Amino acid sequence: MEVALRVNHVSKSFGKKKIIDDVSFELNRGEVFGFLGPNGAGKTTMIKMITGFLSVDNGKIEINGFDHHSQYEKAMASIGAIVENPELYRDLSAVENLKMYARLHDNVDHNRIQEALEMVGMQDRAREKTKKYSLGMKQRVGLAMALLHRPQVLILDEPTNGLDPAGIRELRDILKKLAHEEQVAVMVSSHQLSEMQLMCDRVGVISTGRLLSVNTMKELTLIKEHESSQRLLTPDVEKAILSLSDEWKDKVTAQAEDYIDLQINKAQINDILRVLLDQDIRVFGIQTIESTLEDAFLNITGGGLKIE
Amino acid sequence: MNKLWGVYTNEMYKQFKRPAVIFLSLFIVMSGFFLPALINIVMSFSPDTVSEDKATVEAQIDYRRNENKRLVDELDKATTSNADEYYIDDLQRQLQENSRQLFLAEVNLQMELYNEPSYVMTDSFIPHALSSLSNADEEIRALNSIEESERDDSWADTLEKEKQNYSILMDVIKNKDFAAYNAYQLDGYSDLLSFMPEYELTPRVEALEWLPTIDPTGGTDGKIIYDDAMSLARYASNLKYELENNVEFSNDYINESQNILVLSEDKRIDKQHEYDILLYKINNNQVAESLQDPNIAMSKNVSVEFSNFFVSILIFLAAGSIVSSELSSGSIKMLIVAPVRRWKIHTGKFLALITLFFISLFLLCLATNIGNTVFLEFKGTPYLFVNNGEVVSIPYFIYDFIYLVVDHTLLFVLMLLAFMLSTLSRHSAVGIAVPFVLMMLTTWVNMLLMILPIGKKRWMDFIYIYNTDLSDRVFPMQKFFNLSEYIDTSQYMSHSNLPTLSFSVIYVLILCVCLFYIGFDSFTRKDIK
Ligand SMILES: Nc1ncnc2c1ncn2[C@@H]1O[C@H](COP(=O)(O)OP(=O)(O)OP(=O)(O)O)[C@@H](O)[C@H]1O
Ligand SMILES: [Mg+2]
Repeated sequence: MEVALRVNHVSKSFGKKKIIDDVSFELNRGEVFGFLGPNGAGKTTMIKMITGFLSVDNGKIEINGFDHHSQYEKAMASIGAIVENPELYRDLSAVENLKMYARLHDNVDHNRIQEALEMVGMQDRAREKTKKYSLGMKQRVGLAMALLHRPQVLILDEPTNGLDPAGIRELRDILKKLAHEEQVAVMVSSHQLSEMQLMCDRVGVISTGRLLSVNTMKELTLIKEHESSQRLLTPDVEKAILSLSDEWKDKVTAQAEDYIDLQINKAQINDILRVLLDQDIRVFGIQTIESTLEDAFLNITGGGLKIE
Repeated sequence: MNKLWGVYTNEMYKQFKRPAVIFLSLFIVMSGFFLPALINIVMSFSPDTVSEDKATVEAQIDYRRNENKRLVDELDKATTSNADEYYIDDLQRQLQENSRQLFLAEVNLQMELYNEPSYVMTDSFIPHALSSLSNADEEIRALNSIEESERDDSWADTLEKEKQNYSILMDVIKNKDFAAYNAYQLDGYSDLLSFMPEYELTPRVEALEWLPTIDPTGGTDGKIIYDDAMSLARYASNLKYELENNVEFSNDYINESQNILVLSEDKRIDKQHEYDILLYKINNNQVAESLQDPNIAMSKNVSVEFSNFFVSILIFLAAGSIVSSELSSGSIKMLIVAPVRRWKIHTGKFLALITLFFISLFLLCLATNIGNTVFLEFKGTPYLFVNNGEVVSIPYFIYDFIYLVVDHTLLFVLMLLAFMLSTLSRHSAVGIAVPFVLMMLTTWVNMLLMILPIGKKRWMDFIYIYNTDLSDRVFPMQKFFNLSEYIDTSQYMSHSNLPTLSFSVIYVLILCVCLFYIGFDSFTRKDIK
């Protein structure tokens, strides 16, 4: 696997406050990498360092083998990005905005502008002034801009912000296609886990400036499955708990007037039922409670996802 | 360099898509072009027609005759009744003046001068000739009124001479013969040889000899005002005398006399240049343009000054927001994400501002020149200066543009200040308002400094106000541009108070570099949060 972006022990402080604390990760070609964290975690800050908005206090960033500091223009030539919301020149149309952006790159011709606009479905209204656009439309033009010069590394900060469900799906498809068919390295930040689930190959979790873990989506799914639980509906809650052996008691995660939650997988349902029925405890029903990705993350990070 | 060019092109494109920039450019063009039309309307309330009609002159003659009779009667009465001496004196003076007016009116009727265009009667040599004529007439009458017993030996000669003058002047007026009038005047000076000091007489005679070269019609064609031509000729002849005799005239206004000083070496050079240029103008028939109506020169200045206002606003608006508006709207992101180094972004914007500066001055120059030419028949004369003893001529439009640029040194400096502020603060208002206020303040402080008798101290050389006003020092010969300055050269502000040109240029350069560098350093290292 080819590394497209390498972030190496990067730190950043605003004043005395450390915003990014010794973060290292790699972004490979052909993958969609999710950058996940709650509000204020430092996602945007990290992305702004990669895209040249902020200086890097400590550490190194390398893009396509070019050093971000000493070979800035070469390094940045392969980056396409949307940072927070895309802000366009309000008095100019989408086409004009793209033309201006094209002037700052080598090898972007008019056809490519048209192509990028079609890719995001904005070709019909591309000649209107962008101040008349809705947030989602701006987001689309922003994406067209980010894709304009066929970047090898695409970095999007909360790109689904403002998009309608159809737009979100389209975006997902575009990103997946870019990564899997055109070998673009895609990095997407978000605080919504469900979104990540649908498009990312790997996810890095950041909280209060620290990168807590990097996992593949497969690993996460396993954890999730491993950690789903079963709910036994029974009127005899007290009795039921008393009748369980210590081994089973450890698996109880919650109890209420008419149910008990047990962290067991489906294969173990029979075993527990046998124990309870032997004791003449009535069982009215069994429900499987799917663990969410959130829970999986909470587990990975030991409940470390806190908002500052 | 590709990228720098890209940033620059984008910036120019963006600026000229901004409604404010478009409107202000339009304002510059409109006010520069149409202000002269407005001035033309205001100035042309008195249309250029013939001076009077025959009936008016006849009525005037009637009135003057009656008035003469009345005054004579009254005078008779007064003398017989031994009235007050002052009263008699006064009556005599009134009578004299009335006879003079009567005489002039009769000449007017006789020669049908009332048919002449009014400028002939006001701006040519004709009024001067008429005045001389009535003097001669008076002289003759006075001579004739002397009792025969009291006439001395020279009486007959004097009368003969005056009669001769009278007839010469009549011919001069009848034929509007300027050459003859000039000869008559020159002849008059020969009588003054014994009264006038040589240093006054020589330049005067010289000036008369020059006059026909400057304007052979003596102002009767309405192109050059006779008095102006005379002033110019006198100015040139004075210069010539000063240079030839190594002296300097200095007017002593208190004693109303002219002092003579020894000419210092640096003044000598200045005067030599002035003289060379004047001579060049006279010999190349360029006087008419430079002696055009001061009202037109004024209109040119007014339209430039007024449109200037829009130029300043345009420049401050563009420079004061060029970075800050992008910071506050977030559109800077497009530039930052692009593979362009920060210094190229900053420099590209800087170059765009400089271009905008020149474009707006060019528009100003174009609009005011066209407007004044179309509506007021303004004609610029080439700028002349002396280089290695040769007179060099710069075409007017080029000179006017360069002059405008030099004259806007302060605007340029303040533009850099605005640019710097726009990189430091994300509030565009700061970058726009601060330079604007400074510009206003500078104007007021400049005025104050002119009015207040503040002594010049060495440290004052380091105040920007004394160094940003370069045009007069770069173009020392621009005073030949319009006439009002010939007429009273004492009004010409002496620049001995100002630092030398090279000091100011270096000062301005350093100031610009500092302003640019502060913004540059801040922008290239800035964290865009
Ligand atoms: N301009 C700023 N000045 C000072 N601190 C800032 C600034 N911008 C952000 N921060 C701080 O940096 C930290 C990280 O902010 P950042 O914008 O990177 O978070 P984020 O992960 O993008 O959050 P969100 O999901 O809300 O976009 C926060 O604690 C925030 O308070
Ligand atoms: Mg963010």
